[in-house]
Amino acid sequence: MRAMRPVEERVATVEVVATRQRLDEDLDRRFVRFVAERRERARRLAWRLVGGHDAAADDVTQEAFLKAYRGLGKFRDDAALDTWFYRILVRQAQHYRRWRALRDLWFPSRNEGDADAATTMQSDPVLKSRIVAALEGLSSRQRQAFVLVHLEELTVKEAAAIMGKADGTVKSHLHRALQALRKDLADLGREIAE
Amino acid sequence: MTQRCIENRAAGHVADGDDRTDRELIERIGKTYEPHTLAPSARYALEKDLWARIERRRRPAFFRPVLAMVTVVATVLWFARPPSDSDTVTMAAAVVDAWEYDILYSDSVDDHSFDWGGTAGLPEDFEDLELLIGSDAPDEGNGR
Repeated sequence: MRAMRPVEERVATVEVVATRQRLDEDLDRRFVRFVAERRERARRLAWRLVGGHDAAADDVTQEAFLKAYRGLGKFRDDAALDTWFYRILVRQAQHYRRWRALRDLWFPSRNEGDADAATTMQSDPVLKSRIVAALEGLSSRQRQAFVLVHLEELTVKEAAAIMGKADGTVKSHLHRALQALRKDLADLGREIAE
Repeated sequence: MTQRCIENRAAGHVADGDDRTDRELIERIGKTYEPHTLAPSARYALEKDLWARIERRRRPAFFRPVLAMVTVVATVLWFARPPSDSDTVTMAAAVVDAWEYDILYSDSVDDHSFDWGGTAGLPEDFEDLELLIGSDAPDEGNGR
């Protein structure tokens, strides 16, 4: 192969840099659109999964988007993009909860306590804290299934893909979650029935 | 109830909670357990923080190998350095001094042939007994 002359080499380098910049710009543009389309839902889902903490929800959402940014360049299948991203988000929320449980164990004084009731005063704060407590009583899989299917209104199939479980497993988690919530919030159920 | 919920129930995906009470319970939970819609300022702050994170994570990639190299070099240099005076002093301090050695291991202490000074100074009858036994050191056994 013929060795490149310095001028050709410089032109080639400039072209490589320009291509890379163009790709970076493409990725950045694609990512901006990606964030804008999913921001609200991602944050709401994160908020519900971390137990209603605003700061934690922001943190989990940003980390999930950051991971998505790294993988977005390689990801071409737009149809599966949502499943892929929400799987990252659910996993990130799970990591956060594990870390928080560990932190509460070692530093109980740093406990965040109940969810940010002051920021969600549009509804009854007492009822909200009861619902938070009831949801906290569920296992992490049950909570994920309940939030994804009943609160975020995904289909069982979509939720199963996000959780990386079989449809039947998700249905079973849903059944148990609903049973537990019915028991914990029995008076609320009676109030509704009346 | 949204179209998705209806689809879920129609497809038999929701194994439980098909009755009205359960549906209303779920709806009430959904309405109560919902964050505020992000205000434009909060949305802007969220995206600003996100881009700041992305920039922060981009940067360390440049100096991470350098940092790793510096750590390795520093470790190698630490182990390869010549022994200093303080190391010798430490070793010398561990050696038992001569006078301590004498006390601990000297023959005069450990030796059983201790000089009792002969029979001089003993009463006469004891001197006779001593001569009879013919020993120059007291028996350590049973007093015999």
